[in-house]
Amino acid sequence: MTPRRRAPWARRTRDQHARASRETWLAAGAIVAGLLLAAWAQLGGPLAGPPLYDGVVANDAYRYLTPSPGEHGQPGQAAEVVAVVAGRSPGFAVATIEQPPQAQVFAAPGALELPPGAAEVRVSIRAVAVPGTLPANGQVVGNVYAIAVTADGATPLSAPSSARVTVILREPAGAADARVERFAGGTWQPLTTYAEAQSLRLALVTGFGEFALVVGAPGPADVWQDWSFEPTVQLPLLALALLYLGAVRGINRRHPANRVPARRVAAFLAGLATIEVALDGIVGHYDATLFSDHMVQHLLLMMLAAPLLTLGTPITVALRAVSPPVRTRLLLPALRSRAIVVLSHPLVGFVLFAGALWVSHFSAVYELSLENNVVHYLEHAVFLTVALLFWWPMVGRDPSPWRLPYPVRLVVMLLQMVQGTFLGVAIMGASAPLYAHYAGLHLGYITPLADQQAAGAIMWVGGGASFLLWGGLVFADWMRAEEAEGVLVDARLDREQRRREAGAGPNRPETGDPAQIQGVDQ
Amino acid sequence: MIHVSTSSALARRSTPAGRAMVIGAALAGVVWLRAALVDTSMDAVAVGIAFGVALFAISVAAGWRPAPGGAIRPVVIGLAGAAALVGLSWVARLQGPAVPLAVPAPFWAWATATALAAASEEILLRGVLFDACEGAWGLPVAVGVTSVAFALMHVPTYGLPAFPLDLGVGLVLGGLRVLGGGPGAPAVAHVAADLAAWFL
Repeated sequence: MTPRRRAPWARRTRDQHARASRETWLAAGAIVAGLLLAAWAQLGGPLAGPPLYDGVVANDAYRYLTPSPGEHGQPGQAAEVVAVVAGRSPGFAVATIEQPPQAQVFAAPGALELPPGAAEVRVSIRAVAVPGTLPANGQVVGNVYAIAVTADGATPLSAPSSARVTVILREPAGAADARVERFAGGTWQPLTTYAEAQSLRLALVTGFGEFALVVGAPGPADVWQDWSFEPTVQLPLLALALLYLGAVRGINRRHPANRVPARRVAAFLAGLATIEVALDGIVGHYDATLFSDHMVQHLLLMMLAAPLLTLGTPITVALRAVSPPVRTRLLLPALRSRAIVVLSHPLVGFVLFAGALWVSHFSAVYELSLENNVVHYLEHAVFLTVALLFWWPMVGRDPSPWRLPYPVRLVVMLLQMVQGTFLGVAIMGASAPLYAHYAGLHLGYITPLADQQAAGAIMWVGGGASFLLWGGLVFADWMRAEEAEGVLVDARLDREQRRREAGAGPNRPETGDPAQIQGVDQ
Repeated sequence: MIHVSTSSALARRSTPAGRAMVIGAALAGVVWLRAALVDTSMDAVAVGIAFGVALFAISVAAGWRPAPGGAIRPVVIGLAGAAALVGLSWVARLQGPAVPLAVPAPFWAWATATALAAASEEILLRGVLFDACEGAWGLPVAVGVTSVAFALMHVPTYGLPAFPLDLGVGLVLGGLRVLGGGPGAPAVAHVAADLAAWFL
């Protein structure tokens, strides 16, 4: 008689049982904690979202009531009639047809105050022209929507502040963190606004009428408030910072006597921080609203972030951090490749730097970048790349196939400053707005031409100041190099003098002290 | 039902911590690309399918291979998890009307892309990334890291307000992963809950 086969769990050891038990408790804990957190998130907000709200969502182009060239027109309307049951206002959810809808209104059952005898509630949403009065300190983005909710088509309805009646408007592409405002009594009144999804803005309302999304004018209080959470920018920056710091840490551990100078680390991190400020801080927040702000953004990327990054000597750090096989088989061949030799040529860097500025500002690229985020990302990437190519041989701290004498670097930077001045003056002197995007925003606080003139002045003055700053740094390097060379010459002359005095021949070949030469750049 | 093999170069040549970082970096890159494409006029279904395929390709490159095994247990656990998630959302709806999910018609194209994206997310997050994190830092950290990654990867599309909800859902899916012993159970739960959004 064969013995009965025991169940698998019965063969488990005590350790296996303990482990299985721990895993079960961990799983149960995670599930309970997760459900509690999800419940809090869904019940605590103004309105609940779908389960995971994930997968594939449509993102139709925004439809404008009065579209500019290249924009879509004919925004959707919506209307619904809901019957009153037992004298209680019905719940309704009415939305325009776009995906996601550009305007939506929701009311929970019993939320509205009905007049006696009301039989039905009529709800309508339609895009209307911007009222004559613009927001005093902001700009309407997208359409103004007239939302009417009436009893029997006659009596406008309202809701107590405790009721859950909400209006949701969708931001057009390029707008960010707009607030819902209601036009009432001849003025625009801001409402407490919640972000429901990336482009949807929600406000609890007590009455209906004309609603719009308004982006405020930038002010000092917005410096921190308008910081955007943009993982598409912040994650790569964080990854670069960690990679650089990890490499520096490894070098310092292996070579305690020849550590990476702290000022270089600070310069590299400051360069990354400048990119973050330019793209996600208040500067990035208003780049599609103000041309002058957009110019500041480009100057930060090209005239501050790029030279700071090159001051961090990322190539030197990489060469020192990697293993010898990687250095000899990968990095050095890459640095000596024909593409890098050509791209790093100072003349190529000069032309690309100047060309990127002129082409982007005086072609369709600039307008396109304001309407399309991918083009905007690419524009920033191109600006940063050409600026790095230009500043690499100018700053001259990293090894380069082309090492320019200091006076030549200063002349090249002066020429770059001159062309930047021409660009700034050309923008300042334009008699009409250069870009339809900015001209069509109808800002209440600055005219398109004044904004454009400010942008030109920023290019002229800000660009010039940047070149003076970095030119001063190169000049200081030059003076230090001259001083170091003077020390070497003095030392050589002293040695020759001593040899002559000791009777040695005066024509013996002399060489400088390599250690001192290497110390010049440290 | 589903296991991670060591047949890929990445799986053979790297430590679990290094593998987790490479997978995380690749995931961040794909999420970045999707966020950029969502802002264009590109068809939403095509973006969803491309996203799912890209995640699946990363998982395969990181060593994921389907392996034979019982399929009933992960499906049962996954459906139970989906019921909890959808039930919670349904209860939340009792407060009043909610923001409708903006979905493109037709249903089957949307459902295919949604299911592909959800299953691929789970194979990557609760499959290869979970295994790498567990190998490097242990089971609790694996649940935590994959939950935070799940919440973060949805921020570009749905905004920061969605973070707490997605973190909670990520923890639930992580718990299902531990109970099911593989990414099968959370994949079933994720796909079912996402598809339920059409009907809620």
